Amino acid sequence: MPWSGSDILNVQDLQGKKHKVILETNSCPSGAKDLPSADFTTINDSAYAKILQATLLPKIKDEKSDLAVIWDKNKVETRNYAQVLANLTQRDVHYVPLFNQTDMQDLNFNPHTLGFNDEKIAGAFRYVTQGPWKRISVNTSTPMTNPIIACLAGGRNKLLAAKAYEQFNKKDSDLKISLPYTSSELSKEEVIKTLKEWEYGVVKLPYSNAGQGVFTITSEKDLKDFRERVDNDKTLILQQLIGYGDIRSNGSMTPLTHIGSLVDGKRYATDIRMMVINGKHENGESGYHPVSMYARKAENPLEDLTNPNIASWDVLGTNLSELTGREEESNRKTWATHNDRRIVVTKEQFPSLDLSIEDLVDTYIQAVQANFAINEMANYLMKDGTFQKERFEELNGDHSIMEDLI
Amino acid sequence: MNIKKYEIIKPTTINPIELGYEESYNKQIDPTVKQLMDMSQMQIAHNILQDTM
Repeated sequence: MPWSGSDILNVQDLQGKKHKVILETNSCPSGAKDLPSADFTTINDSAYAKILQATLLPKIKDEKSDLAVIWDKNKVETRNYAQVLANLTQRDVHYVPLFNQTDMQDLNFNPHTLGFNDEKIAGAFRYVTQGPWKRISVNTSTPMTNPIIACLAGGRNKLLAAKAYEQFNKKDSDLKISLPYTSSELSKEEVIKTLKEWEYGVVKLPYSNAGQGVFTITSEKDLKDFRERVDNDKTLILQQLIGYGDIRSNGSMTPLTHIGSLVDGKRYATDIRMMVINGKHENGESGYHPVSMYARKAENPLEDLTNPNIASWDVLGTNLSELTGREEESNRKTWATHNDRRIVVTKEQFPSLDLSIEDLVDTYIQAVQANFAINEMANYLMKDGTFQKERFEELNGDHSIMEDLI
Repeated sequence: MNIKKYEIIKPTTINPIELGYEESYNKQIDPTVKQLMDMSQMQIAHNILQDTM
């Protein structure tokens, strides 16, 4: 996984010690557009160019064929990736929407060689976020950032991400991934039973993203909502709820509360999106490097967590994307973005996060470790370019995903 | 005949500032964040060592 964005919380324990905690790591992260652009003198200064130059271009061996950007979300950024890719390579770039099976048929898309209408593609930048393994083969040999295995190994699969982090933390090293206390592969009934001990918690569906399929549970109303909306046969992940004041998970974990951001005198739950790349950089260095960051705050301040009239998600949920429905003709998902809750790292906005350079380095290191752990999992699941189905089935508690793999 | 149902992007001139968006467009990056983005791997490694010692 040469490129990822981790969502990280700045929190404290009951002794006031600060921690940077990984919420999740995404294999198609947004954030390239958020890097303040006043100092850009060439496109090479942008996150778009740095990502493409370090992760995709070195893998492309075919010097003649066109390139592609394949996408199902985030039109602003994907369009910019396509333009920057065209400029960097001086080649045509096919800018291909691939939302569903209908698009695949309409485009005569070959999911194994990534060709369109029988045209060969030399390499692709992929921003397909919704079950990408349903539309692109994990075994494709076409160079692609990110490869599909990055998603299956943890970048879009919370079950395997939890296992990848667990493996990383078993190593004999001082470097550890900080995580909310996690119980994975639980049934719905097991979640409800465990919540009685923890009092509060966060339930996640394994393959959802952009805040979909995440339930913060701080009240009977939240629990009722979870019971009604989640099917009984789902495999679930339960995580410690990082809250505020006395509203936070209790049990055999270290209780944690938000530090968050301070905006107009009020404190908000806020996560930091730290985007990292692993490849060969313009300055000649190889390996990991930070490439962009921004932050997102919740809609309501943390003090509202005790207000029974305000939903806990509005106080603890930081995602900006909201699923608004589907287009009538194409059945494509439609999204709204709440940009008013975005905190960009400009001179004006960044100070509300109250983060020192030490905090930023800690945040970056957590993002690198999370990427490294998922990358190790990806390497375990691929052998000589072939997906190791048996290994995946053994590790991934939910086998229903196997039917979706192309 | 195949009809393209998507755009083909060709190389063109871009003002790099245009790669910002809304709040980031033509805005100055905070110096603390710039310090992180400009750090070499050696500097970051040194920082981690200090942290773990």
